[in-house]
Amino acid sequence: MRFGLLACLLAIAHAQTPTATPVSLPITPELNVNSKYIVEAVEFRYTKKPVVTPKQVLEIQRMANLEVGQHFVQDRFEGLVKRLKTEYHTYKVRHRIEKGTQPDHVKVIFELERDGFELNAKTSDLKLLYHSKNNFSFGTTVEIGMGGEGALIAGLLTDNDLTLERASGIRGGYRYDAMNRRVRLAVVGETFRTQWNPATRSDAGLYRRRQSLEPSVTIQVFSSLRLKAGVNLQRIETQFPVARFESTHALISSLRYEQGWDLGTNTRTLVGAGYDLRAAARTLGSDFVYARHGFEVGQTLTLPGKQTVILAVTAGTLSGQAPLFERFVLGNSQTLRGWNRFEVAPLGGNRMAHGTAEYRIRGVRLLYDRGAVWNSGQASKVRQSVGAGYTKAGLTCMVAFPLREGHTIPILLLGYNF
Amino acid sequence: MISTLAFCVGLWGDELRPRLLGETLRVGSGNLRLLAGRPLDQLKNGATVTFDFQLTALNETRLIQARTAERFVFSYDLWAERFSVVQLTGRDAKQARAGSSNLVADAAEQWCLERLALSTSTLDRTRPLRLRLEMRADEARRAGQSEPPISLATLIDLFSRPARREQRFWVLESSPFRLDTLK
Repeated sequence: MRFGLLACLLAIAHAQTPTATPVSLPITPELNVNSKYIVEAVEFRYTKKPVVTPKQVLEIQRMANLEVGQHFVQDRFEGLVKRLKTEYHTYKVRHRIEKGTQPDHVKVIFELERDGFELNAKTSDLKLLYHSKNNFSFGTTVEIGMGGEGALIAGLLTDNDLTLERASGIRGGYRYDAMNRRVRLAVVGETFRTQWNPATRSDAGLYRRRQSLEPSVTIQVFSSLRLKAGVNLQRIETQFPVARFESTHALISSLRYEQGWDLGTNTRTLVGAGYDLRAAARTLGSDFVYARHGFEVGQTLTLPGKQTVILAVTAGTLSGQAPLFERFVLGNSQTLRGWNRFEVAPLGGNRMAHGTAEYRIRGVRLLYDRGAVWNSGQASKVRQSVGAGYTKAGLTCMVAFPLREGHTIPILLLGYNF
Repeated sequence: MISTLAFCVGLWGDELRPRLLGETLRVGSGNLRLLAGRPLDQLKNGATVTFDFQLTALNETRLIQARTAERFVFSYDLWAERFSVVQLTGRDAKQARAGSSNLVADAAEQWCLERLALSTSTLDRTRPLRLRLEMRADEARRAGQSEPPISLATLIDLFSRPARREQRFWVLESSPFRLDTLK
């Protein structure tokens, strides 16, 4: 008797389960079964929202919102997708629906993904510097999006700050981001014409031009760790004793670590470390054979009241016979500010150590640099400098003094993003 | 790049099982798996996906002896998490659409197969035959509610052309059999 009752209940329960058996649709069934659901909301999601939303798009958005509260009709949204595509030529436009927050309701989502040529000039890639001893340096790089994850790279620069030479030229290349932007493949070519300071001896291996090609792969191993590997192929046209071409083919690799932590309200620390290796060998077809190692470690501490403390140490060694652009330099806009790099070491050095401490409050900057650049087997001379300046929106005005006995001439640094 | 390449899943051999139902040949298959990959993603995004089917009977020299074609529109019920299929092909334009809902993936695919019927009236019952089933997914095609029934001639014409580069297609074939040996 009990079993009979139980079997009956089970049979009724089974019969009431809506998904248990296929259901024949009415004579004219809806093609999209979701048309029985009510549109709860309409969302527009952009991978990169345009700065200005055209009036026509606002109208499309208004029309889409009119569908809220109505049954989902695929045709109507397809029509809106077509209209959006005509307004946004550089976007891939798709729509999809998701379950709504209420039963039997759906959300309609329009996804607009940037898909055409796009000029992307980041302000961080623009550098402008006036150095009272070395005159102007300027550099900019723009990326021209090709749709998807690829972009062309183009840039021009004239730099008389970071290396012993003034290098003026252009760069161009292509980069492609893969695996959800965790891997970047890039190839960049550069061609520079060089000018030399009279302090750099003419028999030191000067060259008038150099061209380089650098294919590389950068892997974001973790969110805080980035690895880069590649080859740097350079050809330099020497000046003395006779004009001829020499090759510098080097394997390059770098490892960068950067991690930030919140230490409390408005207090944050950012720790970074990096290692760079450039190794040129005859097996790569290089006329120069050398290994250049660079190390850096730093910490940025952000404190309440718009205060920042920056501590950084860099060091490097260079062994073998390297061209001048690989030699270490101190006394520029980044290191030993207040010193002129041609006064510190007109031919650079193959050993370098440098430390900096900087305190910033509301844009006002106070800094202290200390470092030495020398050649192996020779005595090193440690130099120091102090500076003060003001930075606002990337623009910086700074005066730096070398700390030494006797007559001291301050160096003025003005510019953007240096 | 990969997405623009043509896709073909060729499953040759015994994957297609012929059976006789009155004066029509029907097929069964346990290995259809149309609802996977990109078509499935699209369905789960709430869109419809159109599948075209063509069933042909081939003789020993692979000449077509008979054929039929059907168009089906799939959709996926977001709340019930079940598939719905509507058959669009009509011998008569006024013919009402047939459809079925609340189906799991396999059942939806099998429902389409059951709607494929090949007349045996023109087939030689004593000669070996093969059945060949071709299927194409047209993900770009968004079937609207006003979609008219498609004619058999149009579908056969469609299958006479190669699949578009971005179009996925599947081909299944039976082993040779004779009509007089089928139950």
